Amino acid sequence: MVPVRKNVLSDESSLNEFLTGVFLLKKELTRYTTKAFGIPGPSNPVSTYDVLVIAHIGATNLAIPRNGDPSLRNAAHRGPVFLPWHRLMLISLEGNMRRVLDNPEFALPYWDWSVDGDNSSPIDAQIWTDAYMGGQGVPVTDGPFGYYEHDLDRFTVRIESDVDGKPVQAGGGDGRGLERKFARKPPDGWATLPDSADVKATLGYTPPGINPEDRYDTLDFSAGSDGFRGRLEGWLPEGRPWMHNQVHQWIGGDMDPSSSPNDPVFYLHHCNVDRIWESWMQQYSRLYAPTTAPDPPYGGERIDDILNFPGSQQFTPRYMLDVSRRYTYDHLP
Amino acid sequence: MTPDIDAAELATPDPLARYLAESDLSGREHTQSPSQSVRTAQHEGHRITLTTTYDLTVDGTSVPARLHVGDGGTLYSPGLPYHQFTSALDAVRALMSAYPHHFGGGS
Repeated sequence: MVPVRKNVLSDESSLNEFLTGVFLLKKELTRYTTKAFGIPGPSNPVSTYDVLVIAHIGATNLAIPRNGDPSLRNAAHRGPVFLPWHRLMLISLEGNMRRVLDNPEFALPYWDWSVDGDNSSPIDAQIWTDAYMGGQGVPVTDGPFGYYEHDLDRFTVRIESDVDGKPVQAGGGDGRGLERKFARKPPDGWATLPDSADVKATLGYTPPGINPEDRYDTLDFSAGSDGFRGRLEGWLPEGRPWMHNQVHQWIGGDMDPSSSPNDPVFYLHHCNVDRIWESWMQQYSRLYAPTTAPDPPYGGERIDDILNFPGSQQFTPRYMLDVSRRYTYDHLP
Repeated sequence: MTPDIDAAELATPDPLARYLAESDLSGREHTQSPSQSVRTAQHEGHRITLTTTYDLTVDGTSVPARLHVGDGGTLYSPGLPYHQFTSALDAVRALMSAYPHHFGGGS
């Protein structure tokens, strides 16, 4: 039986296991310290959960091509590997949760933010209540990830990225509470969530040419290149954030920098992004682009290039296109 | 269908941590400020090189926040990887809102 990823608002078992898994992975310390990762400040242990935070920061700082600018295209964003790289990250978190929960059937839940987008993006929606993710705050003071005084087991942010995008220790090494700042206006954030019409438009994008792969992405395979990937990532149409980027900007706080996996809702959000991608792939024969392109500058983005995710196992975008033996979704948009 | 994923290593913390610590994937290398964006293009047989440098100070203090310009003129910052800006001042305003501790209290 293949585990089924379900809506976090309608499957209490997935929600509770996800919450338990987050705390177990936060408590599980690796044998490595901040010093081993070259992160300045006092040498502190690093949890399994925070290893994935560092991996995300690192990939965001890794330029494609390697002598290029990571702000323009990096190993996890602003190019075709955005979707397969994050699918691999979710599989890693999900696998770690299956291990610490001792439940091989566990499947990550998703948050369908378009439902809230259709409902005027309320800041008190069900997902932000005590029983789910808690609400906003600097720090958040309600729900499972609230920063409660005198609670030694409280959820604590320990690794963050600085104003230059580099990994540092939060609170000078003492940690701090999770932060969220909902629905800020530009330039700080964005006041609404994507709605179902945005999802439909993204899934229905049709390229002007006749090359089938253009439906996924096009030269120069960057933030500004048109295709399903760039629209789902949220760079296009130009002029404002959409979809994935829009959700990061709407939540704000710890969802703003490259250390955004600090907020557990990151995984529910990306699970929904992955669900939309899966829907698109089932409709369009699991297309990917580029299949071939010169290296440099596109090495690292092509279908058989190695994804820059930590581990000796080497995964490519091609490996990520069909993972139906690992998980499925209860419902596709 | 592509081959199945053997997720055993992906789901084991120490190999992930070890690989990350021993590689250059933790993002620890620092880039020097001020930063430069170099855009190149060809036009009517000429090669264009356009170098843009932002040297940012806030309250008289130099800030190691980088701004980069894409070929289309849009601005990006490593501090806000899900944003893009058409105004450099808006980019700095957003950075200051996102990293208030870094910039200290204003007047």
